Amino acid sequence: MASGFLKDLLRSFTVGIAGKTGTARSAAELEVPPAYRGTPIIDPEKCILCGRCGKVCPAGAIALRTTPTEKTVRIFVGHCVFCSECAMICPVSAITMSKVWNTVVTDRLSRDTMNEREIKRPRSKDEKASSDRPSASR
Amino acid sequence: MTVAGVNERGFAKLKVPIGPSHPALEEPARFLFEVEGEKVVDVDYEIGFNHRSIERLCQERPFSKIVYLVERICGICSHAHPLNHVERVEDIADIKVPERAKYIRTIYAELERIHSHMLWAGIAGEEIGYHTLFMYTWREREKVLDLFEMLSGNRVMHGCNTIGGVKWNISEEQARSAQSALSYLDTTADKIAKAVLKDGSIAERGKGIGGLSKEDAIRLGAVGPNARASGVPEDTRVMCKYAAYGDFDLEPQIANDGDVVAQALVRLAELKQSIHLTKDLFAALPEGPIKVEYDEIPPGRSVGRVEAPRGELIHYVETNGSRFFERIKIRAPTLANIPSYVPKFLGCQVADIPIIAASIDPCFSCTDRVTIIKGGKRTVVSGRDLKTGRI
Amino acid sequence: MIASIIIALVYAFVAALLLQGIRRIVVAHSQFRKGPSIFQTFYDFFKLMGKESLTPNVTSPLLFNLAPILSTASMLVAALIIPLAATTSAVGAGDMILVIYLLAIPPIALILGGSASGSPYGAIGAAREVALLIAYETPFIIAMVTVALAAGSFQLGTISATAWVTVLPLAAIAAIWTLPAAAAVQPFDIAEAETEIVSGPYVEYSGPNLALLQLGQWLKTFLYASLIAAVFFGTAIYHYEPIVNLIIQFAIIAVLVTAFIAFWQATTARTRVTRVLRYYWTIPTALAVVDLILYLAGVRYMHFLFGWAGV
Repeated sequence: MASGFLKDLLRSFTVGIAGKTGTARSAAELEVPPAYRGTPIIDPEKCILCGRCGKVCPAGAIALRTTPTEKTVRIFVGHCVFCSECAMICPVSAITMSKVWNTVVTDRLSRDTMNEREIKRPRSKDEKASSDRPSASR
Repeated sequence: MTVAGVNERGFAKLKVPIGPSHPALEEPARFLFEVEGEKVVDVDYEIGFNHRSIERLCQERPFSKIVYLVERICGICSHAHPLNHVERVEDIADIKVPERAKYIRTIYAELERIHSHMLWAGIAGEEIGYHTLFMYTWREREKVLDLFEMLSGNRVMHGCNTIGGVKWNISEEQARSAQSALSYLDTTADKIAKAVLKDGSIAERGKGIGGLSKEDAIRLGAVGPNARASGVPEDTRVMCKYAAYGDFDLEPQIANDGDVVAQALVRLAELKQSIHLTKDLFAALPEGPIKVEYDEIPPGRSVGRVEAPRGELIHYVETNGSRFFERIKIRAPTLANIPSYVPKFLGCQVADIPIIAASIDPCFSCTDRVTIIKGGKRTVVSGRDLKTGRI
Repeated sequence: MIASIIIALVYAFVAALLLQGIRRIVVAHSQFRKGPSIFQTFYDFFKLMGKESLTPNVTSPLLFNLAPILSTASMLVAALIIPLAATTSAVGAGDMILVIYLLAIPPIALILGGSASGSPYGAIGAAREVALLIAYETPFIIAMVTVALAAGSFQLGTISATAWVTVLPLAAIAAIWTLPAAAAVQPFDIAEAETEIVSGPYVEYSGPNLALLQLGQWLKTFLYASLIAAVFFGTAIYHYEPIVNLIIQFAIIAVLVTAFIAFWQATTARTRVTRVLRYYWTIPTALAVVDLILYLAGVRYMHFLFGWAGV
């Protein structure tokens, strides 16, 4: 205990002098258990853009948009509650709950948590058009 | 300055507001104490700051999403609310949940009780200025949260309940890790009990403070560990035998006088009881499926209760055959415990206010109806009073 | 003279804040955590100096704004009078009675500021600070006066020529016992109890006002401990270079602070203000009075027991 204390004391001195206060002490990768539910990720190869994930999301974090030329599905990680309903309902198992838990961004204007996991697919001309609205929680 | 003069002994009469934002409270509530010197002579109380219109939101979302909404009523009781909710819906639709699912639900409920009582021990220490006890108990509580994370994927808001069963299964390996974690927690519970009960400063700050007699507890409608600390032998797990509690013999843990030391005794005894019960649950986990499918929920009504860590939690659910609920009503245990604040606060010192406020283990996030209680007058506000506008 | 004044002031400032850092780290390690950087108090101070100082709608803005200045100014003067590293202090005229008066000014500034702050929390905090002040000053003053009696003079230079703990250990115990109350940590942080009265007298202060009020308290803790170190552990007996003297004295103070402030803070809860008076007016006062009476009666028990070279 004493040597750990002295090491910490020394580190306090050096960190303090170097002026690096306020940042996290270590950005070490924490081990998460296997069942951990992190950020949901859509596998672009498998996703068929059916939109079931958007309908079932309790937080309204998945937006499925259809324009005349393309279909997009996006998960807004900032709204996600990590319940994994989307992963359970996906018929092709395209959504997995990754182990990513550190969703903090340092740039306030970054689009990392807003438009993450965006899948686009161009629409063929004979697909039926659906109304252009993001998924709501109804 | 809100000094209302000086009383006959020369002490200043002040009105001291505690809340809505105050370091003594984890969640917002407003107490207005009339104080002479250091002695409290009157208390006025206001809640409703955390009203989030959850019952209204429940009417606008389809069934599958309500479990997640109800779960987020409170972070500490985040399993009791969805448990009660899905049990009500299963009652309406007459869904028979498999035994394994019932046991898993009970395991989560007991683990939640463990982590909630450790949290209470830390908060009680923090309120009297004993920061080390706070840091220690919350550090050990991390083991319980790690256990939750291992079993369900998240520390709170587990999302394990669903209509018809549970979503996550418990594997052999997880059960083994859980058993060893619980053995560690068993020794920790002894250490916490020793630190809380045998410590001079806690006994000095807690003995005889905030007492509540058994008659008052019954008359004011106190529930849960708050009532059991005053000698009322009621435990919803024993009375209603929901989930898997019917297979186990539980005795309500009781203390007398209702003061802070009695509250600590009851909660620490329940901590040990829950640890042993959880070990038995893991050992006796039956095989089988964890979920049954259901067709649709017919119109109907159901009301029922579970024992949340803070007391008796009542849910009323009404369906009308459509995709949405007709009405959901939730009566959180803290709402029933609030009237018992009145005898506890009168006559105490200002220094005792935070520990008495924390001693009934309030969770104002669960409480979302406005009630006004005037200190000194022993009135309970009834529904009729609210409807006729007498309040 | 000017140089020694500046050096003493700067040293007092740096040492006081460093001591707070040490206290926070020791408390944190007792609680199984790492604690902030040792310079965290410096960062807090300079951050507050850069913020805006708001005066609420109070009855007496003069008193409200005067309290922090009073607190810090008195402590800076005391830093010049207490021997920090040698027999003589920076301006060479260290009188014990004056120092004791000066050390009582930061609590009085808290009381003034709390009462003038217009908030019930400030009023309750000020009332509690009054009780605390008269509680812990009693054994402290009796112990100090006993030492002055034994030394034959109130001049701190003369007093710190002997390590009085070897002659009057009971008085030393009484004086050291009042350290946690002087530093306002558990179990005696009742004037600024966060969970009860939201910082007490500090509640309406912000910006440089708050920085100076807190600085007064930090300097008081340091100077209180260094007075005890100078009087009872005799700084003048270390006949080394001044810089080494300084380090030795700082080390003694750091040990005192760690053992009697930080460990007490980590292991106890807060007491009630009614109990504090009874606590300090019984055993610590009794110890100091016993030592006084024994000294006046001519009983030199330490000389008898240990044959030390006392007076």
